[in-house]
Amino acid sequence: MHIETQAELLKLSRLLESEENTLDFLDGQDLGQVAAFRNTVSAFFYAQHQDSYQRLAGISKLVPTGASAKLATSVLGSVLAAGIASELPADRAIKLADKLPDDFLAKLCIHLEPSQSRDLLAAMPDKIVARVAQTLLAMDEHITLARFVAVIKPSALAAITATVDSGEAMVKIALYLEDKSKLNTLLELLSEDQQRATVKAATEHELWPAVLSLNGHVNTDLRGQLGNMVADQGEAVLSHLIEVASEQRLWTNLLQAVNAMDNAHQQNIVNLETLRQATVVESLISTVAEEGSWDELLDLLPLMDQAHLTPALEVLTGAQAASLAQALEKAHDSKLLGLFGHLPDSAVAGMAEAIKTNAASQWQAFAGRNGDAHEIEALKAAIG
Amino acid sequence: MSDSISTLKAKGLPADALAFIESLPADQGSQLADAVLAAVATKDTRVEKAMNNALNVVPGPFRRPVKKMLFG
Repeated sequence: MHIETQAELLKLSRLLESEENTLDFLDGQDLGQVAAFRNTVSAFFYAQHQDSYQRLAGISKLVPTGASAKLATSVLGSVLAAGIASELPADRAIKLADKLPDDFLAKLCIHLEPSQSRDLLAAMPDKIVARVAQTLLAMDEHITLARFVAVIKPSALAAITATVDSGEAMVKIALYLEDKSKLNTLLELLSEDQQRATVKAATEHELWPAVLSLNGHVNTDLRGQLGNMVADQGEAVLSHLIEVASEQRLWTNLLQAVNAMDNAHQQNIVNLETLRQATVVESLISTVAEEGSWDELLDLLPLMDQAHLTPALEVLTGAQAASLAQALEKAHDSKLLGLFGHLPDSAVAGMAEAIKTNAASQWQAFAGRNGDAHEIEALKAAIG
Repeated sequence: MSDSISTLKAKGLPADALAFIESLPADQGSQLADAVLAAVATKDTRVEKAMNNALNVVPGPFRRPVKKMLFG
């Protein structure tokens, strides 16, 4: 199962208080639709008891804050207290939060309804947020922390991230973010040591699927920065990364990461031994064809040495030759010219044959647009 | 339509959530509706218990007005 599907189904099973994996039958559904369903159901659950929450909040307003805190911890419990907190005026809820023990407050946060608690969390002072976040971290409550990232004040977020020393926690929080556009903000707040710890944790805790998947959401600068850190991990880690990309079909994410690395790292990766295996290359090219990520691949093929380029071309003109038509249609001409200009003499005839058989009309259009390009002279002659 | 889906409809589950459930193959839709309904029941029980507990800790003379506040 794709790592982002796993994350989404975990969130839904928590909301429904059902065992993990009991919703696996939803694998294959559109993730956006599953998330929208979860949010609607969460708001529905809240609405079912909102009247009770309002009544209990009414009582809470009548008694001193200390007594309310005692009532919450000794009688109501964290689930109900979460509903009541959302019905209190923010200033009252903040005073109450200050009186509650950290572990109770952390449990309460787990059960806050996101759409109802946004304003409350946004108003919460940094010191309380940081305290609760530390407790949530100790509880491995990464889903709740991810929800925090979207709504707390930037100063509170900075205070929390400064204290996170677990790379594993960082990856998981990032994975569970509802709004992945917050990922850049989160990663930019990390020190270089923390970023390295995050990369290291991916290896130590088998989190590469998550890291690769998240890579698609970060900006190019960060992608390059983190990509170079990954590449520094050495050949064994990089080979494992390629296996993960192959198993989870996360090739496009990996290609984006490699494209953002510096040139020396790119050369190392595209010339790893693993990439000479036909099954791996077939998985790569079929995923690229499926996802239309030809530009990302074509930028890297010319960096391969002869020993790696030859098996890649054999797959491209053999088992995956049918995808050439799509490549000629979808990829930028400049990227295709880069590949064709880099073809070894021994590969020209095979490429010409594959194009004639699978992509004749697409080639005609491409050659028509690039009639003067010296990169395709030999291929043009071979195709005739 | 399964019993669980009808019950959820009667309880006011919004149309978009019902549409998602109904877009699934019938057995999966029923399974998901059952899970949502079970969660509703768990949460109902929890809230009711907490409301009663809250009432029990209120000193005797205040119990009647508080009960009115809590249960209407």
